[in-house]
Amino acid sequence: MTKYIIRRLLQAIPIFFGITILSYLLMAAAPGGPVEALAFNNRLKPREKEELKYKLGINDPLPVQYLRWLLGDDWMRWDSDGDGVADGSVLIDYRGPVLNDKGKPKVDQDTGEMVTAPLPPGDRYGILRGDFGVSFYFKRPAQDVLFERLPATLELSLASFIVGTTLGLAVGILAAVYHRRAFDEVSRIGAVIINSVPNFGLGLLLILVFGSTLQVLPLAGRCKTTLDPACPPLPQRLEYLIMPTIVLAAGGVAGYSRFMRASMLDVVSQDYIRTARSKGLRERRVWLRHGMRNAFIPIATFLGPSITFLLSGAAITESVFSWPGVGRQVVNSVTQRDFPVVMIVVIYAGVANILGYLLSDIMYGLIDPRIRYD
Amino acid sequence: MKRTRRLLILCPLLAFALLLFGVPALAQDMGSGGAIIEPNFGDDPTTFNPIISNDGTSNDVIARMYPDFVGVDSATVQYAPGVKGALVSDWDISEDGMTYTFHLRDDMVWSDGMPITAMDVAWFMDAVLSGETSSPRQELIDRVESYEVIDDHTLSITFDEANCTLISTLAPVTPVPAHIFEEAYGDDYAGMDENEYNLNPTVTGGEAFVFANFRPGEQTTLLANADFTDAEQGAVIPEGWVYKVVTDQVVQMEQFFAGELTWVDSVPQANRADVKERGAAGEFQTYETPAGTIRFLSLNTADPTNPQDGLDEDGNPIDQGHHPILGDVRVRQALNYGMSFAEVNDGAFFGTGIPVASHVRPTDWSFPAGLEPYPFDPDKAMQLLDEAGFTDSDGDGVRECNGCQYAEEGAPLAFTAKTNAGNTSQEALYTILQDQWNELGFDVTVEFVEFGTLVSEFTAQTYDAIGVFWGLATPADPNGIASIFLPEADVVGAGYNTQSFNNPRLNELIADARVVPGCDVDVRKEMYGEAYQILRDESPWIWISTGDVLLAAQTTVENWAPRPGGSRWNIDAWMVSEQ
Repeated sequence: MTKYIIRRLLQAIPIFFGITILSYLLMAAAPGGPVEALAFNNRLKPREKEELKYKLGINDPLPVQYLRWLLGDDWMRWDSDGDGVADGSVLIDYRGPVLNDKGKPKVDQDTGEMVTAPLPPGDRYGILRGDFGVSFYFKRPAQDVLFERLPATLELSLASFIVGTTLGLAVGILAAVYHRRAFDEVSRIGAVIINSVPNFGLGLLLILVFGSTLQVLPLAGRCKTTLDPACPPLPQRLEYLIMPTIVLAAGGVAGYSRFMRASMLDVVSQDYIRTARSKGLRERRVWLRHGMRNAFIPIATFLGPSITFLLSGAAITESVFSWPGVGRQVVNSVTQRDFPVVMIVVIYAGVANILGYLLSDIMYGLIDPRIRYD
Repeated sequence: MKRTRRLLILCPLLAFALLLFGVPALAQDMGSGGAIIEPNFGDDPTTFNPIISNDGTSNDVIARMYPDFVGVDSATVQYAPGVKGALVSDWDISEDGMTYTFHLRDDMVWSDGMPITAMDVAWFMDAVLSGETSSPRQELIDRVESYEVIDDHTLSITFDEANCTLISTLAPVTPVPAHIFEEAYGDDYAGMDENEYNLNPTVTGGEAFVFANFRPGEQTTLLANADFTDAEQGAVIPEGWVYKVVTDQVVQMEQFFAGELTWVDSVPQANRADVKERGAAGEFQTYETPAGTIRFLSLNTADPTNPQDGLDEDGNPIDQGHHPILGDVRVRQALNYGMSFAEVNDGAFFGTGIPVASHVRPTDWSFPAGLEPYPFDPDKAMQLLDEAGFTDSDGDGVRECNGCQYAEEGAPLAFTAKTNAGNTSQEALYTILQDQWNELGFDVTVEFVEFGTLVSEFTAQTYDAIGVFWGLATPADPNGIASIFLPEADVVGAGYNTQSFNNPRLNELIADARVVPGCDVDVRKEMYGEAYQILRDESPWIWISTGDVLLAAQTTVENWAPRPGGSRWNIDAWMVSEQ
């Protein structure tokens, strides 16, 4: 098993780089850039907008931008004599153009050459050295923006994961037990309905019914709005978690219940179930001990990758409920073309996904004695 | 066995029921009763440092906890000396009109008790004029030649020329606590963006509130400033102010209806009728004020396949070519005559739009008498298209070029209008306009595009027609048209004269109106009036509408009295009682 895990982790390295290249290309290929998103402001002069492009480094060729993001730029442009400005560089220039009022490089009237000025040395280390860059919009480290929102996302996704899997598996088992009876039919129709309702629709519906009309649950947010510097501990604000959890868990209940039902029905047609029954075991023991346990094996396939969902948040639900999580932020960051924030979330979700599938495979090995990795 | 089965069925149902009803709900409004909870329909503030702030949310928070330098009188909506919450008590202008000497109040203090002085203004100016910060204050750098701290309460600023817009140039100037900023930032202006102090200010003041805390993704909280000397009632009444992030307009209004929000500064169009009705019935307090934005459709007059700057390095005009369809002023005018504002207003704006004729609102001081929007006159529109050489020779309902000015012979009278996707009123507007214009013989394609992409095309000047909003300054600054319609602003990828409009008379009027001797208001008004008329007649934009903004507050808020010059001008006197 250890060898297998190491082999899988080594295989993950090219996958990781593939994710970085693909996601960076997708981000860069998106029409409209951060300057347009950040600086649609009639007070800004053309020179300011152009200077912003140089400052953000988006005027450099795409491979250079990617390398800077991956490996930093302290090795691309350096200051060897310690005077605070760069005096040597590789891949990029250590002097930059001086811009005129129109944001165009100034040209020396006598020589016809572009007027340049020394640039500061590179000071970024790149993601491989733990530097995910500075958010274009928030002007602070991208990892800070992510980690500030992670607790809220974990809170909501864990709750919905627990509710979704518990209820989903229970409903699935019961639907299999009562195969082709009322409960089975109701759960089947319910699953289709739940899967057909978009999350934002269900969220707004719950808000209107339980928040506005019945006024039994708070409408949105993570806790009561006060002048306090932080939300109280979770047990004191559970009611804020209920509606977003229901919205997020609804899909899980529908999905897991269908998978569990199918898996259970598959298992109960096996010979060893027939053998168990013929031994005279009680029906409850047959279903729960022999049926359910084996039916869980395929379900493990889904549980591992759920980590991605747990960590990367749910954009729509978080937006509807003003939940201060990662998902909502990444939607804002895409609109703002805030590349560093979007990229750290993509990388982080990508790594979580790789680990999730690995976890799935490990779980297979643990719960299914037929599977051996060595 | 049966009991077990029942239990198996009931357990998940009970769990659901417990989730839904089992946890008692808490009260939904403020317990203290003294906090103002205002929705922030947007993202978090990016900084609380006035030197580098560049987004509306940050500016909103900064305005509540830092004093202005020169203030705007909320009653007259004009810059004025001695305004509440502003440091300047008076100013003198030198004979040449280039040097302003500002006299500062001596009774304002920071939250640590230190007086607010000219040095605090100088620190702001030093940082911005260094040109090293990311401060979006290029206008200041361009205009301010020098400044001098004469004493703690006197400061002079010398500009590069005498003109009538110098005071508005100083609008972004904000005193900052120099003794604290010096310690936090030193002279590393270039590194200011990433300094942690930006989001953790320890000393603020000079306004109704002081900084308390910031919860990313949730809210920014300010507390009453005990040292605010301009408080309407002698002391700041509300206990604090919370700027709460709300990300969905429907939810925002439901929170307001439920009493979770103290007030909303812009009721969405879909809720306006309901809120007004309930306001009239005494459920809410409401107030309507002219909007600070204009909806427009920019018409590219130049060749979109070959975007060019307006001027070369020596300031000479560069040939822009012509847009094959929209390059002809008669076609642009026909679009205006072919727009039924009444239909648009009903269909897209819920009847709340106000027609505008040019880049000025009827409520602005520079609005000239007699400036009228185009009437809806389809016959006149079709006549203009005939004159422009666009006729429907094949009877398919779409006109073609038959002797037109710039398009190829036989080319259809077609163009693409784009607007921002996701904005329902914009989408409705252009769907209606498409029908109206196609009735005239146009073949208009409408595309809804993601905003960042739209702005990218807008500044790249590769479009036919793009419709968005334009924010107008408060106080109104008629010189604002310079950044949209002068050839100097026609810079591909960066300037806002993206329609490549160039009218020599307009250029002359804008330049002259800035430097009228003595800044005589009547003379300037006449000059701007002619400029607005040129814009209306030449139609580089179709000015579609402005509107009223509906503000609403809970009836539990006492002293809520918005004015056109500021809805929060007396926020220090608001008394929020428990519902």
